Amino acid sequence: MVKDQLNSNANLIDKVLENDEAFLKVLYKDWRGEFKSWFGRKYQLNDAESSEIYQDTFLQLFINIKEGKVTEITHPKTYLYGIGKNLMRQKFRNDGKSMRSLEDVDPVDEDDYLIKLDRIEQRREIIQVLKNFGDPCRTLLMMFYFEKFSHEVIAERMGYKNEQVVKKKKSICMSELRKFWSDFRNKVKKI
Amino acid sequence: MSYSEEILSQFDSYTAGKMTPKEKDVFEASLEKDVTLKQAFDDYLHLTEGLSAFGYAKFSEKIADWESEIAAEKNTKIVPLKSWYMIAATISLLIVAVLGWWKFGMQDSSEELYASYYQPYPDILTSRGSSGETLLNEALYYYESGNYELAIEKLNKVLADDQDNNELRFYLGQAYLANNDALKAQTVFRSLLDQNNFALYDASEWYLALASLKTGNIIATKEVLQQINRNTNHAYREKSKQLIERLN
Repeated sequence: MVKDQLNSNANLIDKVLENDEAFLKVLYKDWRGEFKSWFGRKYQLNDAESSEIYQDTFLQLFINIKEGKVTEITHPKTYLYGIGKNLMRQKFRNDGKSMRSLEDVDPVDEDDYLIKLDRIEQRREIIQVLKNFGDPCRTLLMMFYFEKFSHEVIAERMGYKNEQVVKKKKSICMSELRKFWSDFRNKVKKI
Repeated sequence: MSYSEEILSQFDSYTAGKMTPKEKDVFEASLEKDVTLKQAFDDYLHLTEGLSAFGYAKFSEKIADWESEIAAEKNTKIVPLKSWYMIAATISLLIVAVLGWWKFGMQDSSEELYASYYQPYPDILTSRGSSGETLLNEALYYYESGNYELAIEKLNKVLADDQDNNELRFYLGQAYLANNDALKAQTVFRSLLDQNNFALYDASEWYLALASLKTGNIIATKEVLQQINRNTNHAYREKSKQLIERLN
C-alpha cells in the first residue's frame, strides 16, 4: 500500500526521482479526496477550483523534488498542504481577494514554489520544438537532462553498447536540437 | 557551432557543480573571452531548461489523464438496472460459498480493523520550516513526534485562550486517539460535526468512526460509516465503504 511505502522518509523523493508513475498515480488518487475536501472547505472553493489547486500542488511537489528544492520530506502530506497553501496565497494575491483565511500561512520558499510553473509557460517555444523532435534523440536527452540517469543507465536502457556511445550520441542529439530550435526561431521571426 | 563531446561534458560538469574550483575558474574565463562559446552555453542552458519544462508538461498531461480516469471511474460506478440482476445472482452465490468460511473465525476483530485503517492525521497547520516558539508549534511538534501526552497538555493550554479554534480541537481529538483515549477522541470529533463548513469536517467524521471502532462499538461505527457513505463527495467514502464491508 502507498501508506506503507510512504512510511520511509526518502521514499517519496526516490519514487519521484525514479519516475515511478504507477506509485505516483496511486498516491495522487489516494491524497486527492482529503486534499480537495480540506481546501474546498477552508477556502470556499467549488469542485473544479479544488481540483485545479490539487493538480497544481501535486505538479509543484513533483517539480520541487525533481529540481532538488527539497531533499528530505519527513511528512509528505504536511509538505503537500504547505505547497497548496502557498499556491492559494499566490492565487488570492493574483485575484486581489481578501487574505483573511491565509494569514496564518508562513511564506516558506514562496517564490520557489511557483517559479518553475512560470518557467513552463516561458518555455512554451522549446516545448513546441521538442514535440516535433524525433526519437531516439528526444528520449536520450530527456533521460539525461530530465530524468537524470547516468550515461551507463541510458546505455543499458536504450540498448547502446556502452556509455561512450551514449556520450557521442548525446552530443549529436544536442547539436541537432540546437539547430532545430534555431530553425524554429527563424521561421517564427519570418512570420 | 555544434556541441562536441568535450564541450558538452564541460557544460554538464559546470552546471552539475562537478568542476574543481580551478576548472571552474578556467571555464568561466573562457566564457568571458569566447563569444561563440558563451552563445553555445546560453543556448545549452535554454535547451536543458526546456527539456525539464517539457518533462513537467508531460507530467502535467499525466495528471490530466488521471483526472479523466477518476471521472470515468465515478461514472462507471452508476450500474445500469439490468446488470443488478446479474450482480445480485453472483453475489448470492458468493455469499453462500463464502459464508461458511467467514463464520469460522476469519472475521477481522475490531482492533485489527482499527489498526489497518488508523493513521495519525498529519500536521497541516504548521508549515515546514515555520519558526517561533509558539505554544501551537510546540504542541504540534510533540504531536508529530509521537509524544501525545505532552501534545494534549499543550493543545489544551492553547485552546483555553482560543476555544473556538476547531482545527486545534481536531488535533486534540487526534492526540487523544493516538494516545489510546478513544472515548475522549469520540467526544471531540462528534462536537466538530456541528460545524458544517469546517475544513476538516470529513476527516473528523472518519476519525469519529475509527474512534468508535477502537472502543469496540460496532453499531456506532457503522452508523457513522453509513453517514459518510451517503455523502457522494466525502473524502473518505471509499475507505468507509471498504471498512463497512469488512464489518458486515
